[in-house]
Amino acid sequence: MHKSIIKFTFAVLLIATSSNVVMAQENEDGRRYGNFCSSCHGTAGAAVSDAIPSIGGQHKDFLITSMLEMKPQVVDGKEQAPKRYSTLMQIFFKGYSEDEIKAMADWYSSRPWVPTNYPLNQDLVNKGKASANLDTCTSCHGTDGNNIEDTGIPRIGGQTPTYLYHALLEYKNNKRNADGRALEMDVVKEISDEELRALAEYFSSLR
Amino acid sequence: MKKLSRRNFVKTTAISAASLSILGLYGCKKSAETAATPAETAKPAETASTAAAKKAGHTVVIAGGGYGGATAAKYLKLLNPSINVILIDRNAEHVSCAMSNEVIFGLRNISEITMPLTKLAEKYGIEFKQAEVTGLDGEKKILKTSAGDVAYDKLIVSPGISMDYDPALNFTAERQKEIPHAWIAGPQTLQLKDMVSKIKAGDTIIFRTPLALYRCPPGPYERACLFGNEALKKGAKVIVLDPNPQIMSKKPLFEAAFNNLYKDVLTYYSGVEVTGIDYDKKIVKTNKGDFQGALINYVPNQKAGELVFTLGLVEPGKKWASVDPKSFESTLIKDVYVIGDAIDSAPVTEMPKSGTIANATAKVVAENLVRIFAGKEPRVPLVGNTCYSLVSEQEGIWIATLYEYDATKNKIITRNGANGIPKEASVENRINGHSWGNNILSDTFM
Repeated sequence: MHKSIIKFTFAVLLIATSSNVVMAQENEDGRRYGNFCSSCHGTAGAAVSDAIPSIGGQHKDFLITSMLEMKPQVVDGKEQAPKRYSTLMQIFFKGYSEDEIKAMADWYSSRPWVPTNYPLNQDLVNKGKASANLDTCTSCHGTDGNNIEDTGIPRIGGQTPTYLYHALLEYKNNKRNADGRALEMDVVKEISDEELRALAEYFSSLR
Repeated sequence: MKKLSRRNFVKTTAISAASLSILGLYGCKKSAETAATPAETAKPAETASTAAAKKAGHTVVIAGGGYGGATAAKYLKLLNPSINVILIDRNAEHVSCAMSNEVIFGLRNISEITMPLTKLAEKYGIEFKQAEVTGLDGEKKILKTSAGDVAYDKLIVSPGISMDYDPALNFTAERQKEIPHAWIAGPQTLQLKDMVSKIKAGDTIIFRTPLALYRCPPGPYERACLFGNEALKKGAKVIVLDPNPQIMSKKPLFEAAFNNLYKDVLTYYSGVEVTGIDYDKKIVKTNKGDFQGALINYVPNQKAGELVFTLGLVEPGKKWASVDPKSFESTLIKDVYVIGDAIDSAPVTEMPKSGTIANATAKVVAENLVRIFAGKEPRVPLVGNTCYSLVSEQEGIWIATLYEYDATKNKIITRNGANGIPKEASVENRINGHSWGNNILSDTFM
């Protein structure tokens, strides 16, 4: 028994050590620009609560697209409404340049993806797992919700549950209709709010 | 190096892996070094890093374990585990002032906002001392405490606020107990919660807000709303006595709540000067008339936590500690940094006295101390403030601002106009606000 524990702990140690060594090149500017983000999104972007998303370890391309879409652009000296809905994020992105946003995305995406430990509603998880629309989701996001082939597609496995639900509602209600990605998400328009809530809980449970 | 039994090896290896998962969030080289010597690390973070720090000679002492102090301690360790970090507080746990209004009105349990500093210390290898700080020798760099002298390379002081009672009101210690302010969370929070639970039909609640500058600009108006909510449920009335000329934060949103949700139960007076209190008859005398109430919640005006006065960090005649806005270093004593609510903010910054700002500026100071120890130039503050408030049990509001140091003004000001509030209160804002609360507690104390 001890041997297997040793093997296991060694494996954990090696993985942790090697990933740390890889991470040694931190984008310190990105860390500085985003130092206060962790007060809402959790230390190094690992959120502990349910309505604000984890951003640490999220795919970089998705982070950049999301942040730039929430940033109000100025055209002919006039501030335009951001392409994507947010409650307060558009205020903060107004304060950052595109390069600074990319640096923040670089730093947060290089942190570990830490699945949320927010308590689950098992009933909803089961309903989500049984959903006829599950395959539609996993075909892009991967069966574990963490497709790493296409970094423009967000990690959703282990993401905070209420955030996922709110995001699905935003796609459904045309609040995130900025680009081609939103078109892909048009599939959610045919799905009831109740089923979306269950799918959100299921993907949050993939931890 | 001690020889390891297999059992100990398993144990220490497992602990190293666990500590890596925490430290791996930040400064990675250091974690890898720690991992290379699991044999030395029965309690890896503590013994190894303390030994290394003693060699390197970098000790940061932090007085005060609230949002500022706890964040500074944690982030110093995340950024460089070899720094010797000593956190001192008179209490072994910190009760968060943010969200304490929710406790008063039964929307959160006080255990949710009670943060054990000992746990934080254990997790990150911080040395925690439960002690009273009694004095400072700024030249020899020694902090004097009830647990003995503590030497430092850099000292961070984050004591929060203390009450500045108006002597004319004769607020004796006994009367301070009868009329709790509950503006420093803890026993008074529960005392006011108990008083609120006893409100009955026909009662009048008198709530006096503090004169700016005070901790948490929207806090008084959130509490006023929640008093209004309680009054609606029970058939009581609320009188809000505000010494300020107007609502001091998120004004249109609180005004909308007063004028719509609570128009039948709440009366708001601005520019109120309290001239006397009849403690037996529970009458508050003011320039706007006399008000009698079953419950009086009088929040006094405020000044910096007593500690900065004890340590000589306040200029004569001032109520807050003066700092250089580039660094938060005291203008009076070198190598001493003051963060959080205790700073004399008006001359140097537009930032509010909020938990989020204490958390964010603590990260700036931690990062800069690590840079200074490594022989690098410190960088100017760039921080944000997010603050959610409730206007009822269902709906919330927020304010969001990005701040940066501006060299031409020598002030920390709003960056690129990034400041705003929502158009109206909403359920979504309440839900996000609850998550914000949990995440900032975690980012600061866990």
